[in-house]
This record gives sequence, C-alpha cells and structure tokens, in this order.
Amino acid sequence: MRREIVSPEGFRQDGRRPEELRRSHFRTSLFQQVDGSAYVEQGNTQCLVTVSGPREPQMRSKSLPDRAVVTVEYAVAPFSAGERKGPLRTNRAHTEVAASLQATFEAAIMTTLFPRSEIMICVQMVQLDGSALATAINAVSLAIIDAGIPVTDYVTACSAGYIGSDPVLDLNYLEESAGMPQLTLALLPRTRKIVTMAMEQKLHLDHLEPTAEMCEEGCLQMYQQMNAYIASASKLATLITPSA
Amino acid sequence: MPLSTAERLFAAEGIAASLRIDGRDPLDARTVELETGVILQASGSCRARVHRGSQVLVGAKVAIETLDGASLGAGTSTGLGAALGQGGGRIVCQVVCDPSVAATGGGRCGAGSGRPVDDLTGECGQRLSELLNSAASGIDLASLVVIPHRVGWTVYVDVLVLDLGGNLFDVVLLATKGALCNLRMPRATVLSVDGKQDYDISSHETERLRGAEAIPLAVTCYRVGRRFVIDPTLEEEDCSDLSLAIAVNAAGQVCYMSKSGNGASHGSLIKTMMAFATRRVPELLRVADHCILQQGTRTRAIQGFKV
Amino acid sequence: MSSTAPSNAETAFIRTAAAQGLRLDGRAPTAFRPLKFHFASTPGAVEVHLGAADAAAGNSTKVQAVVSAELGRPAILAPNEGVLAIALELAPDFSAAQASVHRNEEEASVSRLLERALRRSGAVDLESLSVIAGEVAWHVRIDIRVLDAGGNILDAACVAALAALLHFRRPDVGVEHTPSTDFLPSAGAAADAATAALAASGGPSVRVYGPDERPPVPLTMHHLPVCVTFAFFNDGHDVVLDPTRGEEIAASPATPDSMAFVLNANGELCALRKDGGCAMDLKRVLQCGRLAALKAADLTKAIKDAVARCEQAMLSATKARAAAKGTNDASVVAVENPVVLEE
Repeated sequence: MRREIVSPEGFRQDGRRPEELRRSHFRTSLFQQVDGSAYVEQGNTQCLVTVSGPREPQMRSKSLPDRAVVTVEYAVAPFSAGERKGPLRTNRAHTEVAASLQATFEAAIMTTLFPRSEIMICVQMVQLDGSALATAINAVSLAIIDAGIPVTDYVTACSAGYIGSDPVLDLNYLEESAGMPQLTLALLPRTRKIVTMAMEQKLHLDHLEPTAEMCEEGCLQMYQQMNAYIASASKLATLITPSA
Repeated sequence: MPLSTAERLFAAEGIAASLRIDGRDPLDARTVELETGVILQASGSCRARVHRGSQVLVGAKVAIETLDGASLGAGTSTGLGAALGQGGGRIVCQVVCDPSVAATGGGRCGAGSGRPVDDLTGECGQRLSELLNSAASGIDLASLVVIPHRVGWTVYVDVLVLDLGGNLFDVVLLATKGALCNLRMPRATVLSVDGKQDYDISSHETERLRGAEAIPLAVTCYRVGRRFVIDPTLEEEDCSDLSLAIAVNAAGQVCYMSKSGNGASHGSLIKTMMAFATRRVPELLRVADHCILQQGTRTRAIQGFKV
Repeated sequence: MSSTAPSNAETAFIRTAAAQGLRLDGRAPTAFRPLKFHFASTPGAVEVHLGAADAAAGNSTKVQAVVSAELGRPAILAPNEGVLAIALELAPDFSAAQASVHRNEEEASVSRLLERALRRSGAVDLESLSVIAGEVAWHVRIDIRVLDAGGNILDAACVAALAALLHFRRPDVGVEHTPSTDFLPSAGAAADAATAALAASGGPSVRVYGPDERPPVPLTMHHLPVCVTFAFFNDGHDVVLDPTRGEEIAASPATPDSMAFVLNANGELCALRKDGGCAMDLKRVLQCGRLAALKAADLTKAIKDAVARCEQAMLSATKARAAAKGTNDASVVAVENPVVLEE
C-alpha cells in the first residue's frame, strides 16, 4: 500500500507544497556550562547542540600547531524514533554523520585563528523525523555563532528528494522511508557555495541539477530564518544587558 | 575544573554556618521547571529543568512483548519472563548522558574529583528501576499483563541527562513521574480464537498507566561535615561523603531508600534525614502533582518549594 | 614505496603546476592512470594496479580484492536474501608516512563509501543468494587489501571489488527434500551449522555440488557502480581526476579537499561524497558529475572487458590442458600465470 508522496492536487501528506519547508523553531544559549548551545526544530526533528571551545585540547596528541581541531560527538536519544533503540556506542551511521559534520565545520570555522586548541561540538538528536543531517548542520551553525566562534559564514543545510519527475523539499520520515533518492546540501548562503553534499538511494545524474537547485533554495530560506532569529536574539540580549 | 582544597573547605564551613554558595538555606531546594509531552515520538515524555542545575529529558515508550521471543526484544524476554511470572509487566529504565555532559571533565562529574559520569548515571538507572518495579511505587504493574504468563507490556523509560548540576536522582524521578503520568498506551483487548487466547491492539483507543499518579518522589540528603543539605550543586555534592536518597509517597510512607558515598553514619543522623524526608515529600508531591496533572500536552509550570 | 610524505616545497610545486593544468606524471587533469588487472587462478581473486609499474614511488596504487562465499543463516531482517560483507584493510606499511589516527579515518571513510557503492546501491542481487528462505543463504564476503597506497584508494578498491565480484564463481547448490518428513524446515537449526542441522532434523537438505558435478555459477549483478574521485587545488580553482598520493596531500592543507561520485553506466548516481573542503558552485559540481559519468562508462567497460578476456583465456587454457592430458579431470586445471590485461 504505497501512498502518494504528492497528491494530484499538488499537496504532500502533511499538507505542504513540494517546494515548502517545514516549520522551524530556534533557540540559543540554553546551557550555562558550555560556550554555546542551540536547539533547532524542523518539523518534528529536534536537535540539541552544545559547543565548547576554543580551549586546550583534552587529548594533547590531537592538537595541531597551525589550527584548531574540531571534534564532533553525535548521539541519538533512545526514544527519538518510532521504534525504541538501545544506545549503541559504535553505530556506523552515526560515525558517518559525525565525520560529515566535522569536515563541514572545519571548512566553515576560521580554525587558523586558534592554533593548538580544540573546538568540541556535541550533537544530540532528541527526535527524528527526517532530514536529520540537515537539521544537525543548522543547529551546529547556530551553536557556533552562539559561542562567538569566528566563521566565514553561516552554514545552512536542507534536504530534497526526487519523486516522479519533480523534486520535493525537506523530507519528513514518511517521505524518507518511501525509498526516494535524497540529497542533503550544506551551503554558505552569502556566496551560494556548497560545502557538503550527501546522498541516499539512487538518483539519475540528469535529476541532480533540479534537486540540488531546490536544496539551494531551501538553504537560502533557512538562512533568512536563522539570520532573523540571531538578529532578534542578539537584540534581546542587548536590551537585557544594561549599558554602563 | 577540579575543586581545590580551599574551595572545598569554604563550601563545607559555609554549610556548617548555614550559608551555601548560592545563598540558599541548607534545606532549601532550587526551582524546577516541568514540561510534559515534549517528544511526540514517545508515548509519554517530560523535561525537568532545575534553575541553575541539572536538566533531564525523559521519554517513555511502551512495547507489547511475547514471552516466546517471536516478537521484538528476543534478548529481553528473560526479564519479561520473570516479571510475568510474578504477575506483572515490567519497567525498564536507562539513564544516558548527552555527549556534552559525558565529555566535560573527561567523563567525570563537573567538579573534577567527583565520580565518573557513567557511574553516576548507572546508579541512578539502577535506583529508578528498583523503585518503579517494586509494589511500593504505586504503579499497577498487574495492569501491564495482557495474557497471563505470556504477553505483557514493557514500559521503557529512557532518561537523557542534558545538563548536570547536582542532585540527579531527585530530578530524574520527578521527570520520570511526569513522563509516566503523561504516558498514553494503546488499549490491548484479549480475544479468544479457537480456544487460543490472542490480543488485539487498538489504534485509536489509549489508556493511561494505572497508578502513575501515586509514584513517590525522592529527597536526597547529602551529609557535609556534621550537617546535611538537600538539592546540592555539583560542587556541594563533591564535598559530601554520604548521601541518602529517600523516596516517600503522598501518605508519608518511605517507599525506597538508597545510600551512597564512602562515609558511615550514626543512626541518629539517618533518623533526622528520614524524618525530614517524610515531612517534606508529601508537601512536594502536592505541588508537583498539581503541575504534572494539569491538562494539555504542553504545560509549563514553575515550582519553587520552600519548607 | 616511499615512506616520507612530500615536503611543503613539493606540495607547493604540485599546486602551482595544477594551476597551469600540468601534473607530475604528465597526465591531463582529467585523465585516469593506466588500469591493469591481474586475475588469479582461483575465481574471485584479482589485483588491480592503478598507474604504471615503473611509476615513481607513491604514484601507483595496488589493490587486491578476494571474494569468497559460504553457506549460513540469512539476516533476521532479510530472511529471503543472502548477505554481502565488505572488509577493507590497508596494508601495515601504509602507515609509515601517516599517523595511525589519520589512517583509521581514511580507512573508515573509504569503507563507508564502498559500503554505499556496493551494498546499499544493490549492485549484487542478494535475493538470488537465498537457498532456503529464512534458513540457508550464501554469505558473500569481499576482502579488499590495499597493497600499495599511491593515491585514490577508493576508486581502485571499487574497481577491484567489482572485477572480483564479476570473476567470482560460487558452487551450485540443490535443495533435496526427504520425503518422510515435513516439508517445512525446522526452526531449531543452529546459525553456524545451518545446513548440517537441517539435514539432521530431517528437513530439506542442501547439497553443494563440486565443480566436476555442476559448473560453478557466477553472481547476479544488477549494475556496476564505479567510483570517480576528484581532488581540488587552490581553493577549488583547479581540479584533477584520480589524484596520486602526492596530489591528495597537496590538496588537503587542512581537510581532504575531494569529491567522489559513484555512478553506473546508466548515469545513475549511487553515492556522492563531498564533506567540507573548499566551497564550490553548484555549476562546478554538476560539471564534475558529467565528467564522472563519462569516466564511469569507460571504467565499467574496462572492467567488463578485462573479466571477459580473462574468462576467454581461462577457457582456452583449460581446453589446451584437457587436450594435452587427454583425460577428463578438467576440474584441477588452473591457469598458472595470472592473466595480465592492460587497458
């Protein structure tokens, strides 16, 4: 019983148009004990990120003489998905996401400003409902900005699938598990340049362009929302802090 | 950062003079914020945030399990067998840390010289599991049985520690109570097919976990010097050599008790602690139950409790 | 193999040369190194050389892939399918120039992409590997060993694995039902000795035919997804295909600056990896994708040709042997000298 991803009227099962993002919600500075933190909700996918550093590396052997080392821990809560999963310490899929996040943010953070130090990023997926990697990238991006770590630009990410002859933006779990190809793209929105790309399932090369273009649009929309949030959050902060 | 000897002395002497680092009285607790129904994927969930303290997220999920291991959870059916043998379902508890908590201080509690975080969460999970699976928890474990000796519900309680700020067990139990009161499990009906009993799970009818409102709450008393404090910060917890977790129900009965720490104590201090807990927890329960049982999926409540 | 990493001056030279479209080994930026296949006498074992044998140290990559199969229990989640496992190992001397941490990372990243390319893309038809649904299935294992790491391990490993899979023959099996017992196989068969237990319990038994009874069968392949890797220099300005070790290091001042496409001959993209590195336009990515598709078609053809020629050679050798001996034991005939094919 395969249900239609996009109805003949042009609506998806959750009522969105193919090119529509899910509702997202951001919060930063949630914890006192770390340098930066962010919580991002994209639809029902929820992600919590904390950032510590730049600081002295916990493992001295890992430090580099000319730049900061970025380490990423990625964990998924046992109750995050439909079926309960016990915590697996070494999950292959999780290390893959962690490696991808690490490479992405090594490219975006100005690591050469902090030689011999470490920036630690901890990602906790609280709830999974599709587009986990994209949500994690957006959350890390906000947490890094919250920590005041210099970056070249925001890194915003978005996923898109391809079904029938058209791409669909920001897949949820149902759409993801329907077996359609999925592309996740992480963008530096100001220059519109791609930092990271990841793919699931098979996609014909001819369809890569429309799918990637839709991802790009999604990333730019995410950027608008994230930037507006950061602007309002920092305005709030200046209002609260009394000027001397 | 590890605490220095001078800092320890400062904290301990302050407590001896009824002065705590954050200005509270020794028997004052911090404000807790509760939010229920935060995770849609879970059958019941609750987030508890202590003001400048620990923060935990509890997700409870239910699964129907059959003893012959044909359904999911083949590896867990032995525990189920034991529970069903005693005429009840079971509650499986697990406490895990957010990676950022596990990573601070190289896997040790924030104060540095404290215990490894794994040790602390392990103890917390153990206590929670012992308490909830006992008759004293107030939960009607028999209601989790679907077909006697064969099929039963298992409630998985997964606790995610988001921030560690001392007094973990009390907060975890509070949040667990919130999640279990918030729990909605599908209704299972037993049918007889050709003389064989079978069950059917309703897709729209749900029921609550019976007896979840009666779950006790705990107050853990930490001895520092010759006095004791409750709801310590991580630094104060580090100064304590003995702690006693006492779970008490609304009737003022002690349901569960567990001591940890290297120290030994005279009975008189233990008696004082218990007397305090039996007086304190029923008051606490009145406030907490009011918050937890409020209608609506997303209730936000502030409770500050003072003696 | 040289055990020292290229010096800063050398990597700077590689980058400057790349800016002018030049490479140390004289290749065009978008050219692959010559590909050579050495098939062993046993089916499913192949050694792939990427780069000439006399290439300067660190410029040729040698990868060995061996496919083996044995009967076992199917996975619980996929009872009607066989199992495909991929194991990648970098030869110990590879680490001489590199810290072991880095080596583990490289090993992990290469095996992750191979996993996607060979397993998740459904290259091998796993359903045809099932013998008795839910009871017995073939477990196919690909052991990939990197003998010489001269850059672009990923593409070489992928080609080697595919060639080995195409070259492999598994013994034919038959299912025999003992008429006196139930048709349904018993559920109590042990996982490791599935067949033995089945036979003992009186259920259907699996008979493995020797090569002289029935000819061994090849694996059913749905498609051949090959990997094409690009390395970028000078902040993405210059691009080369099939980078050598020196070029890989020159391209990664901080993090590996590369992009890999896994494609089949139909132009279907099976995996795509770009993790960090330089930021680039979508246009650039698509250009690389189109180029990768062309190269993928060439590579698939090369693999197919090599396997076909090897089989031809084996067949004629077998015939020659049989004729020379004039006997019927064709099964013991083996090709002593590995077939060498140059593409």
